[in-house]
Amino acid sequence: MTLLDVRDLSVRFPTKKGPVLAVDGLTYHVEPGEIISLVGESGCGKSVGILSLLGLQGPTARISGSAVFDGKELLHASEKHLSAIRGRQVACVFQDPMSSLNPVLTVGKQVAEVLRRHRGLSAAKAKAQVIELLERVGIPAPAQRYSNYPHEMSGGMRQRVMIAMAIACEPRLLIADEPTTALDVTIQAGILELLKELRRDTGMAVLLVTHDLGVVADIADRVIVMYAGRKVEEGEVRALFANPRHQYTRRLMEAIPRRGGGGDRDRRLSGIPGTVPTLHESPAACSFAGRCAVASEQCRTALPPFAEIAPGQSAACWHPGPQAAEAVTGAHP
Amino acid sequence: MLRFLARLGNALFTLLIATAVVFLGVRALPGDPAVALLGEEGDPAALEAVREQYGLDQPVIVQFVKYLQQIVTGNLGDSVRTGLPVTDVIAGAVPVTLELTVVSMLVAVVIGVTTGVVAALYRGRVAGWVVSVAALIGLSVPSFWLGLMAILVFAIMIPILPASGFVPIDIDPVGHVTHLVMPALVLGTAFAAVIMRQTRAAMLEALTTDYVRTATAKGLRRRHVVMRHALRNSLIVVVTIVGLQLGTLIAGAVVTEQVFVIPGFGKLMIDAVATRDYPLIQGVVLITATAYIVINLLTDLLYTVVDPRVRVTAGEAA
Repeated sequence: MTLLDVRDLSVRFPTKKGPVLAVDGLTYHVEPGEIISLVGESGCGKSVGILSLLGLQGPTARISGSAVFDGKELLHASEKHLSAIRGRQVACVFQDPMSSLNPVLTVGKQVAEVLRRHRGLSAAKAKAQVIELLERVGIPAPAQRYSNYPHEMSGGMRQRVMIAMAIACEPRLLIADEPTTALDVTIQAGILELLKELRRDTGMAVLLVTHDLGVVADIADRVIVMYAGRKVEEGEVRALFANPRHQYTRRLMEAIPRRGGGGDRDRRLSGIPGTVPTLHESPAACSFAGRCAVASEQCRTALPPFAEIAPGQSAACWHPGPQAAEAVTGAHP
Repeated sequence: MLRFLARLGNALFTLLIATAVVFLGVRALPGDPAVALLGEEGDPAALEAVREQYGLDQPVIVQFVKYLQQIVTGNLGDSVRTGLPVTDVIAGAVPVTLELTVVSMLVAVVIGVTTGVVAALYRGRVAGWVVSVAALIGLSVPSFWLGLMAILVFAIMIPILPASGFVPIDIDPVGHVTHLVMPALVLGTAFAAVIMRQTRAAMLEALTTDYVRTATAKGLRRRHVVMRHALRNSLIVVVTIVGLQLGTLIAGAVVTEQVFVIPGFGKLMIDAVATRDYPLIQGVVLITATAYIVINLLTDLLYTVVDPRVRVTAGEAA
């Protein structure tokens, strides 16, 4: 049974210049035990697309669509219902472990809060379990670390505390919003390894938001590429990396630095000119057309349907053919 | 330890400067204590005798050095008007003002923090608006007017509280409390408004932080998120304000004591200035300056209780 089924999710934020459409008709699903990655540039709506499921996107957001978790609708659920799910069935790890922990409470107490809330444990029992959890996520000397304040720990250790907090009640879904972005590369690898390990041991699903395709390749089973609030491509990770179909995904791949040019000495690292547009209305065209090198008249006047292009791989692009990549390289020597 | 010694040295230097400024200040003002004591028609010889008795005929610098020698032995001189030792006079008035100030502060903190949290949580709604307007009024209304209105309403129109005066606690405990209610509320009002505004601002900021989002994402109940995560961090700001404003509160006590005829420090100060009682003025200012400095030191110490990050910095320095 599908663990999380999100359909046609749209999120608008009111601004002085009118409502901004942060997420535009996003549809995706998560199976139990699966690691799914949402990728895209900053501002493409990937974080909002998952935080809004738990009502964490701030009070001003206007949300429509549906998100069914374990058979129950999450959007527009009561605060009471949501607070019973948060931390117990769906837990979160956020981007910045520096600011995501409360500076005036010890890390041990912050982890213990989850257990006391959802498991109704006494302070002493919770403490014993927290120490086990801290050990589980690879924090050395957990009994001493229990009474440390966040500022007394390194970024990597803090992120491990965040993960300990998230897995305390063995959630069925872990939402990780750029969990490694603020960390050093060596620390990143350790955190990703931990997430994979926890998935293997507990069978929880992971919904990982990132803009780092290296992280995606390392950990994800399935990838969803977002652009300007829309899903533009989705596929099994190997297939998608081997043969990206949407023009935007292709350009993203070309922007990954590779040692020695990835076997091609003449390959130049390319950025994508322009920025993600801020949308007020859902455009009846491909949102990437303005930045796309192969965009045609059709791209600017008609919304490409999200369709299966190869088995297990779908994209919303008018030019998904495999030869288009060379056409791009040819157009920009 | 070094840091503490540096702070202490700093404090003593501040006290010396304050003493010098007041010492010179009162002597630069028009008016002569001898004349204030004996009257304009006083016998010139008698006036001269009084001046000699209090050392006022000597050069100012000599007077100042003598005064400094006196204070380090704990002697603040004798009041020119009553002849009583200044230390005794002040010791009689300080507890009265201290009680009034501390009670006012407690009232202000309880009212200010509560309403500040309400204003932050109900921002943009009726409850938040009402609290904010009330705070603005509390800030704007002068305390002497508020005091007079309070007397008019609660002592005259609805006579439930005594209009003014002071009863020592050992003579009549109940009367002591009833006499304190109105002055404490009046003195605390403006302070409560300041605390409310600071609490509101700090809470609004805290509620948008990542760690409050984390607390919510953990599934904690809203009340728990607000009280334990957001408020706890906001209190750092409140402690600072309480420390900074406590001095202002003592100054406010001067006016409140006048309105309610309370024999405290503030009333003593006004009387001392009115009668050109040099030793008493100097004593009062010296004690006030000391109080300010001690309060600031205590505020620093309180920080370390509320904010663990400061504890580490202090530990590293020591």
